[in-house]
Amino acid sequence: MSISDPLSTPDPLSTSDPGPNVTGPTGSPSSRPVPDVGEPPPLQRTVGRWITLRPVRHVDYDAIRSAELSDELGVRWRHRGATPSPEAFAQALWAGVLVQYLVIDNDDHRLLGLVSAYNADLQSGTCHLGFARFDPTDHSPGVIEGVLLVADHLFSHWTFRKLYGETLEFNLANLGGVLGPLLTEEGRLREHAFAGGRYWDLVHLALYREVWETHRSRLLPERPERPGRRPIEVLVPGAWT
Amino acid sequence: MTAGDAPTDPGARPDEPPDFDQLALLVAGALGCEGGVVVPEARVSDICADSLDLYCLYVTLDAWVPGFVLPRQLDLDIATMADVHHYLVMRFEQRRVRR
Repeated sequence: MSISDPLSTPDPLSTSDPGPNVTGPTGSPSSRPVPDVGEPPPLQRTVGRWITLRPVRHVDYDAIRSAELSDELGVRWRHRGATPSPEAFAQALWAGVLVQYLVIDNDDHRLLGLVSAYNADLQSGTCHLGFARFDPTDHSPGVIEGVLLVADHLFSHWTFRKLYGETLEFNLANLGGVLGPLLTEEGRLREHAFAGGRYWDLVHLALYREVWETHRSRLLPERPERPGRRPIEVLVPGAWT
Repeated sequence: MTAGDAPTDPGARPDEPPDFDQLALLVAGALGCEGGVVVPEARVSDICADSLDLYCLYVTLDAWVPGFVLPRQLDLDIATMADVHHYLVMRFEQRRVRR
């Protein structure tokens, strides 16, 4: 089989054959809804109003590394001020990753940020979601749209119950009211991390599937696509044609 | 659909830009705040306390101008909702001329 054949490229994280007649993790074949013959195959959505989600390429590593180690982000995100070698950085970039995209501005193709889903636990139905806005002064909606598209992608194509996020409390000001309607604080490690001469709490947050489904249509409403900004249709394993 | 109203049909876009009161009503609804709060002199940073509020403001404005963004140079701590309305109407008219 060629590598483009969906049957020859099984999802390494999947525990079942992606075929249409298999038993799901919780149900018998007879309990599954019979697919409508005319039903369109599931597609992923990587093109938004303001941004496009693009997979990370080798040639992007230097740009991502520069952004992550910048004065604005260096202490505030995962490396916490350390400067890993290019090799260690590349390894850390993909550690535990399930889904990872760069957020690219649709108009000027600027690199706005990075969104990562990692440490997926398919048994418990949880996954971590993290993101970085590479220019903290940028107030365009692109990075948030990127995060929402990835969250939608995760809830649409995996059976996750909730998505976790963790952040040091000095980043919460930027998240602000995101906490209100979408995120629930699940836990807090008091004075967990040292930065800027003092200790800060590490806050664990969760976005529940039910909450996402309540807000999804408001946050990602269906509207006519922008001229010239057509979504890319991608054949995914398990999409039978 | 009244001219200037945001479209309820996902396949439609308004034919006219909103006046400020129409915009204020929709923004207040999108952000879940009192309509009286969204006045022309209100600062954007006061109306949108966080990134998600600002995103919801943009989603509201997108109904008239797809992909609308405020100028990058605009300081949201200083810019007012009147500025937002001004830029939205200006971009709407620019698009209409191009069509």
